[in-house]
Amino acid sequence: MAVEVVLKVKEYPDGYEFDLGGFVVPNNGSVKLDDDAELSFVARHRKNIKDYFANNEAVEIKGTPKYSTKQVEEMYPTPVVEAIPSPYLEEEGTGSTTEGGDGN
Amino acid sequence: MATVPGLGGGGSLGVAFETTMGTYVAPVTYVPILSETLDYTSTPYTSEQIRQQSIRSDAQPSYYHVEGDVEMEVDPNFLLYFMYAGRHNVTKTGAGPYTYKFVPNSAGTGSTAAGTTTEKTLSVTVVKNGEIFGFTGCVLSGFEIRVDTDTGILMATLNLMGLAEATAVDPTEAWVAPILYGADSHRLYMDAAGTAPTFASVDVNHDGLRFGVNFNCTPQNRVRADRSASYIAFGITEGTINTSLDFLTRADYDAFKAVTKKAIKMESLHGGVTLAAATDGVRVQANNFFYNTYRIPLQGMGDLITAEVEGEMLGITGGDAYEVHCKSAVSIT
Repeated sequence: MAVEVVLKVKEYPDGYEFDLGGFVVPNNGSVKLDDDAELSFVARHRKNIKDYFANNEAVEIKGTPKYSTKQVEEMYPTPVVEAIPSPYLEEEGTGSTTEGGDGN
Repeated sequence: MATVPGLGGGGSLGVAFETTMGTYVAPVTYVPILSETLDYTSTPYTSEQIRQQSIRSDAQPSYYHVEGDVEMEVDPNFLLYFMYAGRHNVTKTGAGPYTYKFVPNSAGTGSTAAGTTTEKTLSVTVVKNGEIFGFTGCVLSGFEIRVDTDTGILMATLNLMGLAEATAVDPTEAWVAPILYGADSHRLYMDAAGTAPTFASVDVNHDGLRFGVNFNCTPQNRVRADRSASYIAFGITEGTINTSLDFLTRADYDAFKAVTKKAIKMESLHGGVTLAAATDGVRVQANNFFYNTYRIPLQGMGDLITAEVEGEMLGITGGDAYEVHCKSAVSIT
């Protein structure tokens, strides 16, 4: 299953090439991504191609992406940083006392 | 959201013209930069209440604006976006590629409007380690276009000042092939001052060139329920030219002493020897300037004798103090 990426950037002339993150599309043109290309895109951006370009008015994705949002999340879950445990501290004797200060 | 530190190379900067000054617009073009320093700029108020103590007792957020510099290799496709945000009158000619000519005007504040001949404000979106920063109402508060003396590459420093930081959308970057002007791209001309100097012959005695303009912008905050700036005010325009000249004769030195008015033009081009013939290019031109510094030290036994020169641009009756031209395939409408 392939998706077609259509690009229309109104400020640039026809044919002007744009790198959309791993593949090049000519302005006012389109490019088809096969399954391998789509997988490379997902690996690079950690997002489904339709989700990635959702906010980009210049890009239209035709067809159904091979990988759904949920599948991409399962392939690339957000890493959880392991909490560093506190070092063990020996208890001090009676603890410190505080004298009255000047308020500063 | 990143959970590990990131590199600057993974970031991006995008710009878009605003329809309404200060209202965020998602990027329409992504600018390959070398660095940026855009920042929320504010000095919080700290209270020095006298309450039997010698340390400030409270802090409150104060007025703020956004400010910073963008460093980039000059590319006419992107330079023109920033030039539109300066205090400039603009003309657009050609049928593709297009030539945009920017000349100074006397507007008091930044503003934005549709069309090819009007000044505009920018929304600038910067992505740093996956976090998105949006800056609105940005004007070009100054710029310097220079030939790097070590590499000969045409570089620019763009000073931006804006109204506020805004919630920005997560951008999806799209990059075009870079257009850089290397050491063999530049032609520099000198002439007497005039509204349309002839610039008949190329001058080959300049070691580097810095063409700088400062609009002396200040952020203006007003009494309203918002800490961000209300608008950016333009001040006096100051134009400077800095270079190092091979010292051959006293002619320029005598012109410095007499405050003789001169003109200078530098074109950086691809595909032609004039801007008209080129496929793309940038021209900077000062139509009326004088040398206000001209130092010719004998520095050492093995050192070339060069003149360290600074010039100041002036207005000219019936013409423009300076011009910046960008020839580009990009069509601003």
